[in-house]
Amino acid sequence: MKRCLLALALLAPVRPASAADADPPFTKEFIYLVCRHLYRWEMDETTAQRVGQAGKLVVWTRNLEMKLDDHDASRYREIYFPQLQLAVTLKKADYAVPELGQRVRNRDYRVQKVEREEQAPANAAAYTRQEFKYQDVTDYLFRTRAQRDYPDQALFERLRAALRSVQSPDDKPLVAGPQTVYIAPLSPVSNRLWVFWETRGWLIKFSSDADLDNPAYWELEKVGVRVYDLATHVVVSLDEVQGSHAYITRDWAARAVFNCIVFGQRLELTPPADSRAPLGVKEKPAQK
Amino acid sequence: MLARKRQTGWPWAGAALALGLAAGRGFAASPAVTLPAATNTAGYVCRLLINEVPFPGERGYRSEADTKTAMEALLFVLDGRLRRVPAPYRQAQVAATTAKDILDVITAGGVHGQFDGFYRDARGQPAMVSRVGARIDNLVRIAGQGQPGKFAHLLQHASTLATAYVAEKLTCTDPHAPVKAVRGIPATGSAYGWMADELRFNPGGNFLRIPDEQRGSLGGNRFFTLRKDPQ
Repeated sequence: MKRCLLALALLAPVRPASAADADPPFTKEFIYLVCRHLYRWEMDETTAQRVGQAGKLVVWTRNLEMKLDDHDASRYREIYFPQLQLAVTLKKADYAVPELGQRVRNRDYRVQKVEREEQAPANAAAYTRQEFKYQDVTDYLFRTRAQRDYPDQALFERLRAALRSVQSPDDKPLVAGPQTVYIAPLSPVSNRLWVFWETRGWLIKFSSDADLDNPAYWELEKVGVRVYDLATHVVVSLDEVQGSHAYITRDWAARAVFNCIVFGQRLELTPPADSRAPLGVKEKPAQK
Repeated sequence: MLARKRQTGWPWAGAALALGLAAGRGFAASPAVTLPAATNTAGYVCRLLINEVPFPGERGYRSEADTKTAMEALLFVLDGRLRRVPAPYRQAQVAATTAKDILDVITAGGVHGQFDGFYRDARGQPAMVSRVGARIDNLVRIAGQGQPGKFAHLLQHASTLATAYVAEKLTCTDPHAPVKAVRGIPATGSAYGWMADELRFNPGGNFLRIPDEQRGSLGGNRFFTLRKDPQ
């Protein structure tokens, strides 16, 4: 009986599956958080040039209607920055995974993907337009550019366990001895976490539909881990490896490593001398 | 239906098994779903399809239907690289190999080749890195918990697709076949590549990003067709 009730509770949608009813416009605070995410992870020196000339940052937002599974109450929205030519798809997940006895749920919208869209959407009327003073935005980004949000202790413990089981991207032997790891700051609008494992030369991406502190994610964490070996998975341009999806560009790798080392949390991990396990029991956060 | 030379297994399957292919060495570990053995063509293709799409809880998951369609689109990319390379392109330009069969397409370029983690080992036998196997083992384990649900349905779909493809009994249609132009640029139709659907991933060259309105975004992947007139 308890199992039946649990199953019913998990399946019960909080809202209808279709997102036809529009949410209120995003708050200024949320838009700024998205801007900070883009500033840290997606933008380069050329991206913001035209915004400064206009003196204001223009933002278009709209609800997205997606065909979802039955009982899936997730919601999708888009933020389009016409001056940046960036389209950001956000998702607020809310659906059950009965196999795990978990509900995948986000506290707020999370960045799903960022795309360059050079053409403004033809259906401009479908969007809500907002404007922000350019100087306010740049002041905020400058002021918060070094802001760091790190995993809490519970999340850190889960991450540590996950790192133990991260497997080599090419089955190379493990590196013996002390290990140095940098954990990038968490983004308040993304369920993605980057880790630079310096000793191995790996860039590791943890990603999820659930919030990273949601137990559902850690049931699946073996699924959502991607490892890039910086010695072998990096090219200057993806043109070099046309059609392959095994690589990242040096520009991206540099950005990720920068965010991990400069803004990240550095850890020294010491495996037991007689163990093959790469991450053992002795570990300590290192001074930056 | 895709007409192609029938491939039912590898003569070296036993040896490959002895070498310990990852991904549940042809396992039937779950009561919810049984995948074809990793040591035959259908099993190898099946595992690639599973490896490249999101399951519930993973970033990029939208719906069961979306993930299933993504699997179908992936299979058409593989087949396109093998048998439907459009003129004036050559197979080596599109698939980075001259492939005799779908296994050559998948393993082109080695362990960090066209499909990361899928390669031929030192003996020339198709293999997968262990993380692929670990992921699929985990998915099969989850699928076996409780009543068969989305995990089982998705694993079964990959299995059914791969098996039907090898048996020349594929009935689904290529979702990207109608893509004859992308925002005014003439295209060949069909997709010939995919990457993670993120800003920083674009294969460049003569690949054209298929936009959302032409179903270019499926299963957390972005699909790419080819310019009809190469640059």
